[in-house]
Amino acid sequence: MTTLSLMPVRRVNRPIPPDRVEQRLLSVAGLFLFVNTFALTLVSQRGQDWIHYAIWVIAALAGHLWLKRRLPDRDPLLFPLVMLLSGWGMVLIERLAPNFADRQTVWLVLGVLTMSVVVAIPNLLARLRRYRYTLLITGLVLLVATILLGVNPSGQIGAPRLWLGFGDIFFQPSELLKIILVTFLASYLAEQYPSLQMLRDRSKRRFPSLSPTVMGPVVFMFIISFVVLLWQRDLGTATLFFLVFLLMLYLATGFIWVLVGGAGLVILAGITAYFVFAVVQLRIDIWLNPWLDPDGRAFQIVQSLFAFAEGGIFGRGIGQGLPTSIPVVHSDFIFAALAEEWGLIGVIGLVAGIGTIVTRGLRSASLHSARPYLSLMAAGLSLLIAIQSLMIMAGVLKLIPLTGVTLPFLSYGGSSLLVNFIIIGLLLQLSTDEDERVA
Amino acid sequence: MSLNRELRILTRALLIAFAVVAAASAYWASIERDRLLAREDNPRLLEARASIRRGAIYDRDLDLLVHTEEQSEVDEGTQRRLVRHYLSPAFYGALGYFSLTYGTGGFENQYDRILSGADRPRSLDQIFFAAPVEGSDIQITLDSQVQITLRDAFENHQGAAVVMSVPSGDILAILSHPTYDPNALDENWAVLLEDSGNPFFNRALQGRYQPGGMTQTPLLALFEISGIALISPFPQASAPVTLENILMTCAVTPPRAALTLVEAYRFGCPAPFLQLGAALQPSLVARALQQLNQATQPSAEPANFENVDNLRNSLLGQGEQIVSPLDIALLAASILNEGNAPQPRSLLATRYPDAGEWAPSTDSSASVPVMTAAAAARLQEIMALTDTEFAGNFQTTDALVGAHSALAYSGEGALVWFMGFARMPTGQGIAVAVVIEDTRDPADARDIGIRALQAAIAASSPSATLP
Repeated sequence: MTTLSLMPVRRVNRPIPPDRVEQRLLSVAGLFLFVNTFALTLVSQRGQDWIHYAIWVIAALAGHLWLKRRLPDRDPLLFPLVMLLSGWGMVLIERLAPNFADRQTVWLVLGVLTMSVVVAIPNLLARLRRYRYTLLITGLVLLVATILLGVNPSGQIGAPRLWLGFGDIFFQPSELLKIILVTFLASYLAEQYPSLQMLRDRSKRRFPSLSPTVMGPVVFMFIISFVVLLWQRDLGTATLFFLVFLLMLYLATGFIWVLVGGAGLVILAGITAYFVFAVVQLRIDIWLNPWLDPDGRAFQIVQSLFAFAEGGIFGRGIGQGLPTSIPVVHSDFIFAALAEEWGLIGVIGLVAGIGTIVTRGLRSASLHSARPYLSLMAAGLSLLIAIQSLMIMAGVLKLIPLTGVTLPFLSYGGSSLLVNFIIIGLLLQLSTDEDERVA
Repeated sequence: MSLNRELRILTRALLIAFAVVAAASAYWASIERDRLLAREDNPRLLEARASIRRGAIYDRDLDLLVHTEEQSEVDEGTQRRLVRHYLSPAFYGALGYFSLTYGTGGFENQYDRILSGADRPRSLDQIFFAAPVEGSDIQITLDSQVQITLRDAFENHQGAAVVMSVPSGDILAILSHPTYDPNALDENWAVLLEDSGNPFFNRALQGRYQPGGMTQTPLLALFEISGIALISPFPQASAPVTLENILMTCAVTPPRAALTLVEAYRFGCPAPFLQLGAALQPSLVARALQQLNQATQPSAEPANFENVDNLRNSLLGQGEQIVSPLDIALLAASILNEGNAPQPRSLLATRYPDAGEWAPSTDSSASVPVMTAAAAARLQEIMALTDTEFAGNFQTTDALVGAHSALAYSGEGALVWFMGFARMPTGQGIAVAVVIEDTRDPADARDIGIRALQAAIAASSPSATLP
């Protein structure tokens, strides 16, 4: 006969399963969007906002169930945060430009679908690495095609022609080019990683020799960025490409001079562009002093600052501000609209959300730190989101000149949303620690 | 070797960059907030004003004068906007204007907080659901009949007039001519600004004129107090007086050269007032002439009456002292009200949006002593007796009326003044002041004064009676 002694029961703090965490976070995001949709309905007296909300709920639920099945060990924060931000963007577009809300919702669904496909493709990261040159050529072809055949959906004369059109559907190839370049660079730098490390050891952190291994890609990327700037007058994308590349090169080499030299190149290019391109000159002039021409050339940035001031700490409330006084507010200046209606609290929430996505991406990079390709891939994709967000947010706040890029997940724009969901799909893959992902 | 070190550095750098963005947002949302929001080029200011349904303005008989309604015709896709309608041309200028572009003027400006709802806390609907703000209605003291009479009387003249109820101080009519149409202000703004008649200038309140012969009224009171005989003949009373290059004559040609002081006052002859006033203590003269400035402040530096020229100019009403028509109306009111000038009042009541009841205005102040009751009574008597022809216009009303006309010189030209009062058997009183800039004939001002008093007697129902 055995006796059961009354042993004290030890509570074990088991971690909450990722699925449960994701579920809870999605519920919070859904509640946030529900409240805002409700408030917007009261103000706008429109009913169709609920259709978009219902579609978001279905997309979130379907995405969650799919991820639960395909990537059980994924990072549980990424998908809810991305759904929160893209849902927030959807509500904002309903508020700011209702005519575009249907289209943005369709792109949201396509984004979730594409992300689901990305996470479902076996050995995708390995395949991308294997076909890196094919990808690069594809990217360059897209770039050339945009230069030759690019259009602007607005039809405005003189506007940058950054889109390729297929009937009524327009796609911005530079968005896809971002992923292609990161993939190529991650692959290239991973391949060169041993020699880069040897170079680093030899130099012992002193100024290294200008090895073609290092300088080759620098020159190549600078040329690509400059081509983008020269032909397409797309200052934002050119700067984004170059900064992401510099930071990836820094990660691969550990050379701080890469950043210093790169920054010098950016400044040099900026000064040159100031004297060569009217659009760059305009942006720098209005950045330096927008108050000289608040009703003319600096109208957009001045209105943006008014929006921040109007929002104050708590915001005016959805539908109660006047963010529509900012031209193209639903695209480049959606951050200012958010600040006006959700206030500083909303801004901090948004910055924290994007910051968390970025740090989770960099955490995945750290997870694979012994496998340079995966690590650089995760870091590069995270940097794409981080640098793009910082560029537009800082521009809208007059910290830096405006660069005309979209705010990831929030701004109106199908190409941008779709590509950012692809990035999240890849980051979700990278957030798992599976050896078979390494080629 | 791994990438961990560089990743850590990069992560920290990015987090710092995000923190800088948040800090910059906080800077614009808090430190720079007030400065930015107050800028005139902030469209939110305009939008906030445009969304307010301003309250209506009614006259003292609750006839609608101004109201706001939604624009009746709008293009497809254009947001419907609110439009302010000014219904009676007689009130143009008196009520002022409301323009999203040019702001407010006149009563629209004076009662802007009430009319725009800024005098009440925002409702929950407005805070949470952006419900439009509605301003309160106001009932002003102006009387349509008196105002229309004044407008008609001034059709061919440039000048101003004020009609006031005594002792309440209610402004029954206020007119400045030429004026403007506030319904078409935005379209005509540039033209109006260039107009030589200066229609935006409210002459009744803002006008600053030489008092000229209007100084004779307080001087007469001073002579009475000083024991100077008012009815003794004064030789050469009608003789002209020279002031620099101007020859100042009686306002109305007298029948003979020798006049009593009372007669000299009636005909507006300056000589006796100049001669007697110069013989009095300058400080007494200065104090007496201050009675003319009840609404406007006298100049910061009081005229030095020890200087003979200054004293002479001031006694003739051609010195540094300047007055408005409202000042003169208040002087007339104080004569009627035992020497106490009532405080002018233009708001009778307010009404919250959708409320049935009017709330009476608490905006009233005590009257201000201007002269002794005895001096006021004596002036009342003199003014009533001096112009029998004027009194003949009011025989059917049984009202005690009094008046004084005067001439004043301004630069190359001249202007005429009229000051009058009526005291009805019921005890109600009315004071009138008129100034005309484009005539030398005091009869023109007197005719307008007569018409205004007749209209006011017919229409007025003052809330209080005279003592």
